[in-house]
Amino acid sequence: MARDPALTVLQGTLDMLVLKALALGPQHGYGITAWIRVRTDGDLDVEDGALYQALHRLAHKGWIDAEWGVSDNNRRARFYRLTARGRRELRTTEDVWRRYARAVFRVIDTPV
Amino acid sequence: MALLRRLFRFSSRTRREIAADVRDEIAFHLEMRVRELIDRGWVEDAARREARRQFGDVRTTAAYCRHLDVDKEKGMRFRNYASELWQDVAYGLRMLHRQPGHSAVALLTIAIGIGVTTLVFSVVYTALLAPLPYAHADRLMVVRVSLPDYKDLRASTDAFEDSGTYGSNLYMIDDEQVLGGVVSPGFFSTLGVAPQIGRTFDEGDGAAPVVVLSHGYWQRRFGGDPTIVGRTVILSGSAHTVVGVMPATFQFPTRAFQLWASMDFAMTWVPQQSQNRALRIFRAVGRLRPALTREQAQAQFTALAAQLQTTYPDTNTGVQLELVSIRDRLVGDVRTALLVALGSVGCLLFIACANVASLTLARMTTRMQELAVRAAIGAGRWRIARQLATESLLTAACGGLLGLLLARWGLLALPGLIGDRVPRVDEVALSLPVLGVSLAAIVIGGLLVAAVPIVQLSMTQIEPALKTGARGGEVRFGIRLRSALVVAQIGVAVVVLSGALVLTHSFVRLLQADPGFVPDRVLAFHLPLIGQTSPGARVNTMTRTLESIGGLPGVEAVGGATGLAPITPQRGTSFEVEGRADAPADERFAYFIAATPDYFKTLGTRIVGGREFTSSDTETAPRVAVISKTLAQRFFPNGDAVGRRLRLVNPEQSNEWRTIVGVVANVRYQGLDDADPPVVYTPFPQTPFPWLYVHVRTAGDPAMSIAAVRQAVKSIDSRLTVASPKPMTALVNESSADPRFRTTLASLFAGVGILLAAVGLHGVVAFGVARRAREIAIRLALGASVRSVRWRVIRQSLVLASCGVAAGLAGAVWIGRFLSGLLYETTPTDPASLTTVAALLILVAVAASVVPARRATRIQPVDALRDV
Repeated sequence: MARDPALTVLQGTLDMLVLKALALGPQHGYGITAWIRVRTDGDLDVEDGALYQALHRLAHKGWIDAEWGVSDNNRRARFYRLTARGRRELRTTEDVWRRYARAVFRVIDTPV
Repeated sequence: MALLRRLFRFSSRTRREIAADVRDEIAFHLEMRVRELIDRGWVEDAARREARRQFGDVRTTAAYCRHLDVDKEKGMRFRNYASELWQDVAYGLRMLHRQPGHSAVALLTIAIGIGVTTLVFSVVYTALLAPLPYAHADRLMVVRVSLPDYKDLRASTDAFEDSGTYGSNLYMIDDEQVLGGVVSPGFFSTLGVAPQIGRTFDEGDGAAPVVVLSHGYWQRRFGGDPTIVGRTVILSGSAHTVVGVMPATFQFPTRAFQLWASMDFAMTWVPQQSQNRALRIFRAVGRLRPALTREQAQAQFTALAAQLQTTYPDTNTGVQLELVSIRDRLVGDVRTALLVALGSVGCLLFIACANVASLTLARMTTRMQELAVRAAIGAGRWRIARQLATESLLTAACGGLLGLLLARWGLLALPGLIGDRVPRVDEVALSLPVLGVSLAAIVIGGLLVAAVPIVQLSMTQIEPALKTGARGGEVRFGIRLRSALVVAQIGVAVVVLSGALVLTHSFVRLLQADPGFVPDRVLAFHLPLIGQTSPGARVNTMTRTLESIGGLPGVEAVGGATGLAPITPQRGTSFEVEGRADAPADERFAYFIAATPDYFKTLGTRIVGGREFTSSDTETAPRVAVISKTLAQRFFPNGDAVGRRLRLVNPEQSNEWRTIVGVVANVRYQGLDDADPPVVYTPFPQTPFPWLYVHVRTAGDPAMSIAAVRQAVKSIDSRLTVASPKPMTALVNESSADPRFRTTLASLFAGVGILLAAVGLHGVVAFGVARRAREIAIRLALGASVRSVRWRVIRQSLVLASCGVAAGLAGAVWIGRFLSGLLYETTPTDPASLTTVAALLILVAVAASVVPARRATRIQPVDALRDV
């Protein structure tokens, strides 16, 4: 079946996606890409390099923490986990996004 | 476990580790992606390409991640550091708070040290280092000249791009005596200071009677009246127009100068002064051309001086034109005193810091357990050292702040204490450079204090302290270090004290020196005769005034002269002894003083031979002179001076031969340390100067007769004034103010230094007693006598003191070289002073150990032994 081309991720959205992914528990970068793909049915095209840049950016801000650990298939992988500040940040961003989306939908759904 | 690890993760990643982490992380990702693609049926090579394509630019991403991580590590390291520092500071503050006694002593000691140092340095900075408030001050030079010499200097040298001359004069303004400058127009343009209001005067004013006021005089006398410009002020009887007021910072040549009047106008009254090549009471101030060095300028002046010597041998033989930088001129003799003071406070600061260090060390021994516990739960040696350093620096900082407050407070009292001795004292302030130096002193002091326990720590095993308590071998090292500190303290105290004692000794010698007159019960005042223009009128006024004063009840004798001992001779002259025209030029120069009858009788100066002037030595009588003993010995070693003849070689005076009628004892006209200069006295009627210093010997307190004397003078002529009446004893004090100032300062510092050193010594001895309580108890228990135990304690103190005294005396001898210029008939290594110092310190050592010694023998053997 023919699919629409995947959507490019809007600026600022990626950070929230990463935080959300980590809210479920510590994860490595590859795992996060996989999770995003599954959750969005592949509708969002996240470039892998951009994801890693986002991870390190968030770590720099102190919203997530990084540590070496062991992956499911017994390989050494860098795991990220949400910090308390990251969790707070996620909550605010989610709220903002919900209100934003609701507002836009209200406009879109206006019967013409 | 991970939490614990995170908690203690102090070690941070290096740049290399970060790069490896990023590389591995990306490699893991690519690997996983390739595997996923292969699972989905890709061929391995294609899968690899696809994985890379999905990733995007690997290199840029890696670089971006590395950069962020490195930045983050830096921030974390800083935060760790800051939090540790905060821990230390908080802990240090708690320690300060928990031991209020120790803290108070330490803080006060440092506060005194820093406060006094700051105060003295602020004075030194302002006087010696701060920029002068004149344009191009580094190129301003002063040279002593007579007016004809100055004219030649301007005509034949081009060293100065601008210059002017100045002299000083005492003016009478409404019965008040005011010190003023007499200045040429070039004076203001050379110094380049703009007036606060109005203008200064220039060539265009010609010989008009104009005057510029100082800020202080304007405020004090005219209440800062803004309309002062254009008003008329009567200076010693002649009306002057005020053209301007200088700013408060303009205090040239000293802050005593209240106004500056036109020299060109003054010269219309005393035209002979501008012709008199021998009258070197003036100074030229000039600004060197920018390209010219001082040496080049001096060479020009030396050449000119040589030329003048050959052209005018009578007046210029032996006369040099010596350039003095304006700062040297302004600071003058005070420089050495200030440097002595600065050196003394530096020593004081050292002693203070050593005391605090010693205190800290003593406390260290009681803190061994605490430190051992900290070490046991994982604090590294470096970490503990840092904590100790923080505590010390904290103490230094708090003490230093306190010291700065002390200094601020001290500054208020400064002008009253040293205002007359030190230039620019009104400008002294805690300026930025001063604060910078104080801050440096605080930090250095703090580090010095911190270094001592750290050194001890580095040589001590901490861990055993946990088991044995604070009585291990480590304490012995602390004691040794403290002993070394005390020896150094005493040494430094000895240096300061011996300096002070040598200065004191010299000062006492100075006061004991025979000044050639008896100052008790003599009143001296200045009688300006400037209103009487004819010589005859001056003589007449003088004679009647002295008669009138002489008739007052309680007056034993009255006489006058144109010089005022021991402040100033006012004038000098060349002279020629009959038949001795070949004498070397510098032997033919003497103070030149015109005296009235009974002058020497009033002063109490001994007549060595012949007679003093009488009322028969009138204007028309045969020309006569009296000479001082030094002059008589120089030219008439056989004692046959009386009856011989000499004449003045002085353009202002007639050069007739004068018969020597008397020889008088040497009078010290210029300070008590004036080295018995030759003096030629002439009768006032034969050389009637326009002023006279009248001396009145009274039966009682001379100050009580001032009112009567003033009335007697006014009764002769209401325009006459009695200016600056003072007992001669006050004048003697005034003339010795510089050495008195130095001596007082040095003694003060020495006193504080000794006190601090004694505190340090007492601390060490007392601590030694406490530490050896058990040993002493055993000795006592075994039957040692109380005396022998006490002696052992005192001996320890004596040994330390002796070492310190020996080192200090060596230092004092070395440092004495710098003092020799300040001393009067005393050597810097004066044995009497040095012996006194040694004896005094030994005494202090015994005193400091008496209390601990007594305590030692009160130790109850049972208690001391059970105490362990």
